[in-house]
Amino acid sequence: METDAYIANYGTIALFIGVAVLFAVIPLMIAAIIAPRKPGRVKGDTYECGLESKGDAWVQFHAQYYHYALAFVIFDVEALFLFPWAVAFTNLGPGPFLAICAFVLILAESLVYLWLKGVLDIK
Amino acid sequence: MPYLAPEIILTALAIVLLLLEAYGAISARSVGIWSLVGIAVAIVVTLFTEVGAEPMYFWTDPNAAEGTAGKGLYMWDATARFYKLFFLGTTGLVIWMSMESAAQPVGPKTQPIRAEFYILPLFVAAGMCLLASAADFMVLFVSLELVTITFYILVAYQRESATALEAGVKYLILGGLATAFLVMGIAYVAGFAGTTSFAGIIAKYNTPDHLPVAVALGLLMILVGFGFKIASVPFHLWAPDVYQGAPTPITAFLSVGSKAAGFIVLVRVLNEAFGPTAYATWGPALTAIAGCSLVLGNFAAMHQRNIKRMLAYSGVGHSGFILMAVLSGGVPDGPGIAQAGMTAVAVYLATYFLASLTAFLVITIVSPTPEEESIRSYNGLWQRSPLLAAALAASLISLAGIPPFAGFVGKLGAFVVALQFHHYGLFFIAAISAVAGLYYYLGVVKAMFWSEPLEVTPIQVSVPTQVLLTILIFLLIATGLCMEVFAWLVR
Repeated sequence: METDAYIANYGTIALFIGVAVLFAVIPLMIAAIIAPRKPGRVKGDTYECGLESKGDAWVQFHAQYYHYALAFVIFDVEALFLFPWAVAFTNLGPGPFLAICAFVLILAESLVYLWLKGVLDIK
Repeated sequence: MPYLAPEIILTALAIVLLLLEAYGAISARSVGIWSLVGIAVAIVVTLFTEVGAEPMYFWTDPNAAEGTAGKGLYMWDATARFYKLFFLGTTGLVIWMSMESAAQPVGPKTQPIRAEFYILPLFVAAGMCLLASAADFMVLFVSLELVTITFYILVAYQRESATALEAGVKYLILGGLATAFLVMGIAYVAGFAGTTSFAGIIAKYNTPDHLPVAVALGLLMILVGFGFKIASVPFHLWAPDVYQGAPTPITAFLSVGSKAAGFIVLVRVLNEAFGPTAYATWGPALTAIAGCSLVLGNFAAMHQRNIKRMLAYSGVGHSGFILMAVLSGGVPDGPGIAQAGMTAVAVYLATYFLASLTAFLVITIVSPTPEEESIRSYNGLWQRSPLLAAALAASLISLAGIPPFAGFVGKLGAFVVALQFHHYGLFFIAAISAVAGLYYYLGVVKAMFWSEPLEVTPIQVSVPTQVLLTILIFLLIATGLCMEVFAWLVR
């Protein structure tokens, strides 16, 4: 039955997850058993892509970025809707065009609102 | 009128008001008045939109096969219209309550009521109206999220207060979890049915066979998501803390609007997307949920000292009564839920709407600060303001389900359905819980009339609110005496 075949597909995924976990865990266990332990100040430092680390990893971000980040996500997701619409544009009638116009206008309204409320000014 | 009119009116008005307010062209109070005007226009538009005999579909799905019923995303039938009016009425009264609480003096840590506090409920109302017409899981999910995400903001509105923050965090995290269950359930059902439209799903699974295991699992996960919205045991844990911490108008909105939104999607999905055979899956699950909600809600409410917490637990109990009316399916070749059950749910919600919103309107006026929310603050309310005491007494007695008031009609309908569909165990539990309910509702009534007040200063009520309270008391009694009103409403 198609249902069983469908569920059986998950078996492959489960197997794959199991192998992937073992593949990562076994070398770590081997390393933990045979590696010598010599901790030092440089070894315990924050890893910053090989450069010498500067300061603490627990940097505090200014709370104002929170609004800024939210606004960014909104317009990032807007692109997600605009791309498929743009690809299919020539085949669509006036209805989808008006719908996307309304969508963009509502988002533009949110930008105006944020601007007027002073969220975009970062001191 | 075009079918999407109420939603478009509300959204457009909310956007215009947001811009005007941001430019500083309009005061918060006039935003509130304009919001009320917008709600009134939406109610008139909804009343004057014709309802066809068959569900009508507004949008069409270009990918659906010719001749299938599964083409629509949006439907406008009698049920949709009734619930739209219900949600618009709730939103109107909630905005009225917000304006009432804006008129009261603010404490040192209370945020003043700003224009957004009137505008966000308009978005909630638009989402709820869309929800009442959803004929597809996609529309259902998007509109449910519009409602829920707006509530996240409104619940945590008093962000200086610790209880409000606790309420906001609890509602956000548990709401997110419930949404995850809901969307996972929708994924299972849509993955197997190959479509998200209700008509497409019922066409595929309305056979005498049992549902495939994965679809049954999906349905149960969807029930978890809805169980959160209607605050039923065991998905009720957020309710007491959120009801207590949220501003009182928003508590009213959650307890009436959000609960009814959960029930409309519940009956829609069980009725339109799943047929009588699915009853074998959801019947036992909802029976257990209803029984637990009845017992826990009503017995936990007895020990509450805070009136909003008490109403939160009693709301859990009311969910149990309404679920009893939902449990009217499983008749071979019948609909998912019998017409008697649908009517009983609608009538119960209508009576709950009147009683609960009246109670919260009084609480908004009597308890402007969290310290005044204890039931002791209601001692001797009769001496301080006879009208407020009478309104709260009428609404609490109605919630308890004593005959001359509206609540009795709602409870009667739920009990009749339970007998009709042979849920004798549940009937017995519900009867005991209803008696337990008398104890704590009448406890507040006793405190208002026969206890000495803590302070004797009379409470001032503005004239429009006096008129509104009088109308609400009249409606509570009139609809209880004349049940035909409900038959007309849900026709």
